[in-house]
Amino acid sequence: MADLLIVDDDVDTADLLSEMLRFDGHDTRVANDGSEGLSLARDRKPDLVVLDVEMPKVSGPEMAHEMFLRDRGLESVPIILCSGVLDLGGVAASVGTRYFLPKPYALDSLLSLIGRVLRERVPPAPPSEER
Amino acid sequence: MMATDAGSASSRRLAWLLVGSFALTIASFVAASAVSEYRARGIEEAAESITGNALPTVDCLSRARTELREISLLLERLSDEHGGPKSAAEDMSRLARTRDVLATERNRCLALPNYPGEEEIEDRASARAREMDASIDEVLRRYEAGNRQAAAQELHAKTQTAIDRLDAELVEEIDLNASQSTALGARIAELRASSRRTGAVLNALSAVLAAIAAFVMLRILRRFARLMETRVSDLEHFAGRVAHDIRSPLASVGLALDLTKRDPELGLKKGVLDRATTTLQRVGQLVDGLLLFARAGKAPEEGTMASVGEILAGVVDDMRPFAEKNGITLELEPVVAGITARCSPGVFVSLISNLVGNAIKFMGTSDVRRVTVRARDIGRSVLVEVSDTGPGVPASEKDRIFDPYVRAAEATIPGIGLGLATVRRLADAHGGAVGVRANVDRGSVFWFELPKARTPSRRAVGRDWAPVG
Repeated sequence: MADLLIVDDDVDTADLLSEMLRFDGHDTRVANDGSEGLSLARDRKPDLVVLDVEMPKVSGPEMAHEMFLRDRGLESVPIILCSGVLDLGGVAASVGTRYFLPKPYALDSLLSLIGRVLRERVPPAPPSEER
Repeated sequence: MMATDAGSASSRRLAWLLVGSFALTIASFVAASAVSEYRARGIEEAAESITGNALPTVDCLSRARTELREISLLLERLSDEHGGPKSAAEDMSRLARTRDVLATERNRCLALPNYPGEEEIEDRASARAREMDASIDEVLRRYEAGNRQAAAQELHAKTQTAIDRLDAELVEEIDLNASQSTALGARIAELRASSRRTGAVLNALSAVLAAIAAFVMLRILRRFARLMETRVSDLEHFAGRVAHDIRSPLASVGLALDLTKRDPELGLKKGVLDRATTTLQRVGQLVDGLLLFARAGKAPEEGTMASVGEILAGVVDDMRPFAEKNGITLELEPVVAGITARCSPGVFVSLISNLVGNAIKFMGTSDVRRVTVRARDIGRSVLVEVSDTGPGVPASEKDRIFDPYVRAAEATIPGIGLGLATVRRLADAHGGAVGVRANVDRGSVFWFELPKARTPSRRAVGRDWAPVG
């Protein structure tokens, strides 16, 4: 089982997702904004980050940017973007990750995507390479 | 609001500039046509005077001089002793015809209009003609009496002199008409040159004004296009935010249902379904906010009124616990009894709740934490102010803070930016106004005014006060 970091400013969503993933046997940690997420990721490198887009203080794309550019080791952590923003595919392309899931989603879709990511373990690529 | 006013004033200035430019362009064209018409009339009159007066006068006077010379020659021949009787009779007959023709030509001249000074010449010429005719008659009488010598004496002594003097008057009148023709020709040339100059100036002015009008129109169109782009961008932003703010809580509701489905006991134990219910209520509030905004533009029904003092007291009492939870003192200054606004109580509650709620939510970390509500009767309207000691509104956001879909750039407070937009839409629909100004020491004062009950809306009667600041 994997060490998953959930970063979402919607406290209910983050807690429930954590509960569900624990139920599935994963270790989970929860952060409610990007800066808190970065702090937890620096404390212990996660296997995967489930990342919201719009958050106060540090947004999801800003956190992904920080992980890629400034934190040695964190650039190899795969990221799943989960958000209700309209152009989530475009945001994912700008972040450089190939994994994203628009809200609201079925739990099975998320679990399936998490399983795929943990198998592939493809970290975000620089946006220029992705394009 | 103040910056928005400045923007409106700028748009009004542009619109007036456009109207002014168009009006001046048209005025310039009209002036050019009028000047051109005036000059053309002057030219026409001068040309008419030349062709209808000066030239015919010169013509008939020249003919008269010809006849005068003929008379002089005939008289010379009659006085010549070498002519036979037959020749003399013919000359007498020709002399009579020539004298008639001379009289006819002179009458034709007299029938034409006179230039200044011409009448005196004609009077003198008539006197000379009478002298000449009398002398010719005397010559003919002596000639017919067979006294040729006496006839020749009269002819050389008086008649020829009278003929010369008449001829001199005719020449003088011809000169006067010729000089009038010359002057009129010069006048025509001057009018044409002046007309060309004035036309060129007015046409250039028209071109400049038309260019200004085109430039202003272009600026207005560009401004309109920018406004439309901003509106489209705002709408897109708003649609995205609404989608996000509805989709995100729905995701947690879905997770709650999934968790409960997998492990109903765990779901109940952790209160997951209760949280899902709360989340759905939040979505409901969001939809309510959207509906309120959509309906806020509706005008009030006749006879609706809200008791200002009672509603303010009720709202402040209701919101005080929320304020105190945030460490804020919420106060209502005494309101004069009996003030009523021309709106439904629900609308008044919505207006004041939005402003007070915003003041509490956006108090931030200010050390002095106070929100004060006050209401004043300002004649035809009621003015309500919500004064806070928060961080204030940044100058960059004052322009659009009452626009829909707009929130502070760094806002961390939940919301979709419809609260103040709804306040303005409600106030506008009720013939009122909204605004914000900096507080005297710190924070902001958000205000709205509504017409008092049973008085015409401010739109109909005009503004009779101005908010401070």
